[in-house]
Amino acid sequence: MIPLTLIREGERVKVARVSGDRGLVRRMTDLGLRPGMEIEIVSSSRTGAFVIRLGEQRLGVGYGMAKKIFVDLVG
Amino acid sequence: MEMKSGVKGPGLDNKSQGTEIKSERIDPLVSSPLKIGRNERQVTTAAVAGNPNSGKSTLINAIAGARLYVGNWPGVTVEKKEALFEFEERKIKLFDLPGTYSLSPYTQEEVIARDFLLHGKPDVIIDVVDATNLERNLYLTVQLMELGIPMVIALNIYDEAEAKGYRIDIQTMEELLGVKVIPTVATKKRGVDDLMRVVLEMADNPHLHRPKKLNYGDDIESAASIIEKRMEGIYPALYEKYPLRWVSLKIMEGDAQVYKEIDLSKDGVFIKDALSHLEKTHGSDMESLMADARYAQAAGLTREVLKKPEVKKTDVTDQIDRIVLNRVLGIPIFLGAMWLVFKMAFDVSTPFVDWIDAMMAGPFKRWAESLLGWINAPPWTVSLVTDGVIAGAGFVLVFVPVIGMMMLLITFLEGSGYMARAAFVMDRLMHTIGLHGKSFIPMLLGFGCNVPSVYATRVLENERDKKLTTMLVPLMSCGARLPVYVVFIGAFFQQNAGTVLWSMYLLGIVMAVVLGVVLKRTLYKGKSPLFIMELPPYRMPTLRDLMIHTWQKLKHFVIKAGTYILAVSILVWFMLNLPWGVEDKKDSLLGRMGQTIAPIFKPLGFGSWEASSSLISGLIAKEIVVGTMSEIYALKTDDEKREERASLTDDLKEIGVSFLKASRDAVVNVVSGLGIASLTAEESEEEKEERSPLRKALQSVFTPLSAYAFIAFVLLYWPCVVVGIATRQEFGTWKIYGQAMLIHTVLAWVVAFAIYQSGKIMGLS
Repeated sequence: MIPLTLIREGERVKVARVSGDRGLVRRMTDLGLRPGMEIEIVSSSRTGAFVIRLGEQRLGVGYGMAKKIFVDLVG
Repeated sequence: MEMKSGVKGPGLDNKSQGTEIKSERIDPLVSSPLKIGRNERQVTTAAVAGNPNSGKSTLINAIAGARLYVGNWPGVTVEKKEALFEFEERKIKLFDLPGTYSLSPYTQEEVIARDFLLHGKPDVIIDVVDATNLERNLYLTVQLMELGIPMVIALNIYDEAEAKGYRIDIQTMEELLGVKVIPTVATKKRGVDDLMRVVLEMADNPHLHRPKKLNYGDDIESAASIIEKRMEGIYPALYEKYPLRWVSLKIMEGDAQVYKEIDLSKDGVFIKDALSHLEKTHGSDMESLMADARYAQAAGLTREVLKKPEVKKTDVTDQIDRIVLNRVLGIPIFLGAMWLVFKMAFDVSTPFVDWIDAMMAGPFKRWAESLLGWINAPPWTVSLVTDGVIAGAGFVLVFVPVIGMMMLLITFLEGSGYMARAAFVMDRLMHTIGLHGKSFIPMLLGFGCNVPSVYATRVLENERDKKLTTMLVPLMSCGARLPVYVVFIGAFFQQNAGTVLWSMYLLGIVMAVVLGVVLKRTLYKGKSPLFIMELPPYRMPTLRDLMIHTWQKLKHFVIKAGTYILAVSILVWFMLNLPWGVEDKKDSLLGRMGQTIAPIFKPLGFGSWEASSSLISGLIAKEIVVGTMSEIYALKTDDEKREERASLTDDLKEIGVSFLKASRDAVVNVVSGLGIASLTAEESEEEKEERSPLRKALQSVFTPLSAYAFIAFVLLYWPCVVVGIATRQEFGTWKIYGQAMLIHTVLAWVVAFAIYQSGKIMGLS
């Protein structure tokens, strides 16, 4: 289980856990970031933000946020 | 039912919309009485709910068009959109609820949506579902169903889903949910009529159209029914107010708002008991448990009805994003886009600006004078009207084309989906000034007007962010400053008009960054929050949508011009003309104030009383700066104008012909401007002179360098008093506005000083 920030472009991962306070976790799950969901990293950068693909959606995720999303590599 | 609007696409399943009413589904989910057998003359109310980006507002625009009324939900700045219209001789009122992903009690939007659905007693819910994003949208749908209000799903963005190769089994969807599903394409107005017919039918027969009660699993359902029975028994009044099913589920979740509204202190033990089995098997986080159950429904349903094609092609959106969101190119592209916006706005609108200006100084003025002469009004009244009202307020109306154009272009960027990318790209930058990418939204609004911007800081969750954003918003050059720039740029920088204009906006942004960094370390230390945002696929906004949204934004400015500024122009006229009978404007009230302050501005290159007086008047509204200047210099050109006693027909002809000329010039500007240089149309020297007496006056008082320093000062100095009032309302104290006034004015002075002095050193004077 590693934070999203360590994942590179093009990789596919599965959400393991979202850390943070209740409101934050709630916001994540509402948007679809739930344990078990598969994410594809559309673009990433070491200092900046991520664009991830979650099912049909694209989400823009800031760096601070990406640190709180824990994932497992898939395949 | 056929799709009356003309299109029978292959994917749209016409069979599922039969007219037989399925009469089995009489589920007493809601005990609150709804009228059965409505009177034809009553208004049917429908609440329109859905995810953000589901095309909800496009759909409402498609249904109700110009009959949209935009206000605010009481007590908050979230927009409340209502539309009242007639469909097949029935009156329907639509309430556009804020876009939400869920109905939790956590965000303002959700609370507003919930409250309306619970207490506003809509007859019907229209759930707008994005067909390309079924699973997530259905998560909200299942929650809406818990309310037990008759519901219809508008399966929107259906064309894009089809284009992607999706096949959605609508009939099964209707069966599984017990809710009618109407495919719609809001951008093309398809499905709208069918949707409205279903709405009316449901409103007329609510007991036949209650949504199905979905099974959230035995454990949850048994706990729920225990609680339901108790609630029904002990609080009979409760289910007059709330749908029983919904409130029971909320009690299980520990929903904060529900607990606030209902006193359940006596039932603590009972509830705990009811939940004990659940807790033992699934853990004590009831909220997550319920969320998972709902989500499972949404996911399961999607699996049943949606067939996606095997191969996924990279779509256009990804391709565009690859460029637009590129680490290196992202920000420059954004700046370039903004530059394009400003250039286009200026190019297209300047000819019209000049036209209105000429009309005000020419025919309108003559008509006013004739009219007043006809009723033998005293000279001071004539002066008040022509030099005060017309010169002042009219001057401001002149800028409606420019601001309208800018708002149009910004609305286009919003509607196309680019703005979300811009917010994302800017997030990193925002981060360096200690702000959230979401702060971008109020800041962007600031380019139209700073006042709604201040209210928009509500999107930010924490207080420190709100304050910091509010401090930086005034540096976003608002529409009110545009008249000042345009006049000065027109007088001094015609060759590079678009670029100079853009440089002002850029200067504001750069100063915001600088100020932000400083404030972050001093007054506003704190953690910056986390950014996550949906990036919708790129779309081409419809013309109708563009027009409606642009008008909504423009309306603020126009109304402000019409009322407030009119009043202020008259006030300024008085300040310039009192004490009574004063000869030289210099000695009027405002003039004297200006004279006192003028020395401060000498090192900045504009140490004249005229400039100072105008700047003082800018406290009230920044447009007034040019309005005041216009009034101060008005006397000088009066006499020349009085010579021309033109006839009415001549005037009308003049208006018509010059309007056509202005239109032609606008097109010429845009076409030629697509190159590199910015062009203003050719005009003879005479016409130029006739058109802008103010320009001439300014050219004799300022130099290009001091003009640039002046407009930089106007950009940066204190925000107008209306912003102050908004700030007071938002934060409950004048302190923030006071800080802003001080900090911004000092900043403005320093920057204008730097510009002027370094310019002089470089010999640019």
